[in-house]
Amino acid sequence: MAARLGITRTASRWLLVGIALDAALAVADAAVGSIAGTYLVTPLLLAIFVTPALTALGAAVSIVLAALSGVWHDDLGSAWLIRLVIVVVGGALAYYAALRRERRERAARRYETLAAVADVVEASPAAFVGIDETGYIRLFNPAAEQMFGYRAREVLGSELAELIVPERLRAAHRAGLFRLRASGESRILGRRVDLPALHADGSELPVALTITRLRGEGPAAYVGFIRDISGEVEAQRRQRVLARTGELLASSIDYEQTLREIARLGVPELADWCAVDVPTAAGAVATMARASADAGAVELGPLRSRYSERARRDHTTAGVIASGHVVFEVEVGEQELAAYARDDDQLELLRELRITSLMVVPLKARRRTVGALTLATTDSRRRFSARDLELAQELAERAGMAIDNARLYAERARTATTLMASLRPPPIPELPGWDTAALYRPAGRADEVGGDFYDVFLAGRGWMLVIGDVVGHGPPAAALTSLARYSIRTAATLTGSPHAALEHLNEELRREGRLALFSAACVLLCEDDGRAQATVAVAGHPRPILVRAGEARPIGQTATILGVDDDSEYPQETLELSRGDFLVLYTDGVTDAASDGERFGEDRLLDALSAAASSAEQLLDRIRQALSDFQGRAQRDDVAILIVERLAASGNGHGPALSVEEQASALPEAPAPRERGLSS
Amino acid sequence: MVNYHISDHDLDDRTRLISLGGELDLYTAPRFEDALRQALDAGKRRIVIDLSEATFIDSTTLAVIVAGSKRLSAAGGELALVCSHRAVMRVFEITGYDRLFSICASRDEAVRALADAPSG
Repeated sequence: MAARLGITRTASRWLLVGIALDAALAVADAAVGSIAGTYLVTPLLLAIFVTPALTALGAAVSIVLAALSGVWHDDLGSAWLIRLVIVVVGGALAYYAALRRERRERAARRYETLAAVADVVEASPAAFVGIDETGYIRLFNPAAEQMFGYRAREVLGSELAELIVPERLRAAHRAGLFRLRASGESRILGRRVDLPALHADGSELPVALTITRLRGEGPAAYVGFIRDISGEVEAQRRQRVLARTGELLASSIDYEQTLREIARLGVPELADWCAVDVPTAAGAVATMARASADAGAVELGPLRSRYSERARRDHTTAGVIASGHVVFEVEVGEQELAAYARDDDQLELLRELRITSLMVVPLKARRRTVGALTLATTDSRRRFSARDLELAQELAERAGMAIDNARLYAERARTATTLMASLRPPPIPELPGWDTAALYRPAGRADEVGGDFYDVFLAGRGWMLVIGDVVGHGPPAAALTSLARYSIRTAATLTGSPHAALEHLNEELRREGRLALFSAACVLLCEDDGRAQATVAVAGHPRPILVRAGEARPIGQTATILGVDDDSEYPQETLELSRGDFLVLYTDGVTDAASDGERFGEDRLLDALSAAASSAEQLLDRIRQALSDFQGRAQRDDVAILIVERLAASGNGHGPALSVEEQASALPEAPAPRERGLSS
Repeated sequence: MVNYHISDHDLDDRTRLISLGGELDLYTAPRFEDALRQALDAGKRRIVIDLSEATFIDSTTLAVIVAGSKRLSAAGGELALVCSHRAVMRVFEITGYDRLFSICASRDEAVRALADAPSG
C-alpha cells in the first residue's frame, strides 16, 4: 500500500518536472533566439533533478537531438516535436531512475531496524528470531542457533514456519501472520504464547514465544523472543503428578481402589499407557490395574482372570518385582515386547498397542517391593527421557507407600471387624416359655461397636438377662465391654444370682488400673412349678420396666454404678410374672435421645409402653416408632433394648435343669438370631 | 449444638467454683475435665461443681466427676455438687451418685458442707 503510494507520488513529481522542463525550454528558446538553447538546458535540468549517470545519459541524448535538430531547426514544427520528445524521454528516464533509486533505498532500509536489533541481541543469552512480514527469517541470534540446532547462515531467508513450527501448527501460524499483515492486529503480539517448537533433530521442545513488531520505516518486521521452558514445563508436570500422588497417599484406604488410582496417575502426563502389577500369594504376578490415554486402546482383558497357568514367570515385571531394579527401554522392539509379555496372548495385545518406549519401575514401601509400575508410550513421536524415568521413580516411591498403607489398613480393618463382631451381642437363644425381642444399635457406623451390650444365657436355675453400658467410647470402651460381659457371664453362671454377678463385676472393675465405670441391670428368669419369677438387680443403670396389662412401671432398686466404690451393695428384688407380662431392659441411649434440646426421657418411654401388645417384637416396634417420631434424625448415643414376654409355662414346669458343662455345650447351638436392626 | 456453658472462679484461697450449664455430654466433658484439672493444679482442695443450670448430664460427665473426686481425695480435698434440675437429679439417683457425693440444693449449702468437712 505504502509502496504504491510512493510510486504515484514520484510519478506526479516527475510530471511536474516535465512541465517545468518544457517551460524552461520555451524560455531558453526565447532567450537564445534559437532552438540551440534547448541542448544546453536539458542536461542542466536533468543534472539538477536526476542522478549524475542520468545527467550523462541526458547530455548524450541532447547532443544526438542537437545533431538531429540541425536538420530541422528552421522548422517550427520540428522544434516543437523535439521539445516534446525531450520532455517525454527525459521524464520517462527520470521516472525510471527515481523508481530504481527508491527500490534501492527501500532495500537498504528494509531490514535496518532488524539489523539494529541484531547488534543488540547478538550477545543475548535469550534466543531471538527476526522475521519479515512474509514470515521469512531475517535474524537468528547465536542463542537461537543453540536452541534450535541450526546455524544462522543456513536459516536466513528460510520460512520460519518450515523450520521451527511443528507441522500440525504450521497452517495456524501462517494464517496468524497473514491476519497480522492484513490488519496489523494480532492476538499474540506482545503476549507470551507457550507452544512446542521443532528442533533441528526433529524433536520438540516447549518454548515461550513473545513477538514484538519493530517500529521503523519500511515494511513491517517482527522479532520473536523465545525462551526454552522445558524446565518449567517439566516442573509443572512433576508438581501435577506428585500432587495427585500426594492426594492418593492421603486417601489410600481401599487396596484395589488405590491400585487403580495409581494406574491413572501416570496417564497421560507421564505415559500413554500404564499398568500396575503386584505379586500374588502363589508367587506369580497379577496385573491389578491399567490405564490408557487413548480410550480406544487395546484392553488386556479382564484383569485377574488373565493370569494363566501357562504364563512365563521370567517376564519383565516379575524381574522388576524380584530384583527391585528398573527396566528402561527408550526404543521398544519385538525383543523387548517379548520379554515383557507373560504369554502369547498378551504379546499379541501388546503388539496392537504399538508401544514405542517402556519403563518398569518397582513400587517399594518399607524396603519391600510391593509391585511394579509399567509406563509405556504408544505415540510414535513420543519417547521416554531421563526426566520421565526420574518422575516415574518418584511417583512409584509414593505410590508404593500408598499401596502398603492401603494393605495395612485393610488388614487392620479386618482385625477390627473381627474383634467388633465378637463384641456385638450374640444371638438370643430360644427361651422356652418366653418370647424375646432385642435391638442393638451403636451410635457410629454399622460395623462399629458401641459401649452398650446385652446378653442372655443360662445361669443356675434360670436364664440371665443382662443389659449394660460402659462409660466411654472407642477401643478402650470396647475392651471394657468385653471384660464386663465375660465377668458377668462367669459370675452369673457360677452363682445364678444377679446381685452376686454385679458384685463380682464391681470387684473386677475396681481391680482395673484406670477408672472403669459400668452400669448394668441383671434379671434372672426362673420357673418354679409353672410360676415364673424375675429377680432384678440394678447398678447405676435405668431400672427395667415391667409392662403388665398395658401399664408400665420401673422395677428393682438402683445401686451405685459399677467401678466407683468398693463397698457397694446391689440389692435385688424378686417378683412373679404372669402370662402376657413384659420386661423391658434398656440403656440410657433410649431415654437420652435428643430432639431440639429436649430428651426422650423415661416418661415418654413409659407412655410408649403403656398399651397392650401381642408380642415382644410388637412392643419393641412401639419403642422404635416413638423414638423415630420424637427424634426424626441421626442419633448420637448407643441404644440397646432387650424385651422378654412371659408365655405359657414351659413343658417341664422347671427352668432348664442342666449342669454348667451341659449349658456350656448347649450354648453354641443357640437358634437363629432374633436380633434386628432399627431402621433397615 | 453449642448449648452449654462452663465458667469458674475462686470463692476463697482454697475453694473454686466450677459452674456448668446446659447439656453436658461427650462433647463438653473434655472442657469440664480441663477445668477440674486446672483447679487441682492451682492447689484448690475444695471444689464446688454447680450444676444448677445443667439440663442434661451424660455418663461421660459422670465419669469426669468421679475421676475428679478421686484425685481430689487423694490430695486430701473434697468435692461438692450443686444440683436442682429434675432430669440431672434423676441421673444422680439412677447411678447412685446421690449416695457417693454431697449433693446440695444451693452454692451456699455446698460451701458450708465443704467447710464442715474434717479434711481440707
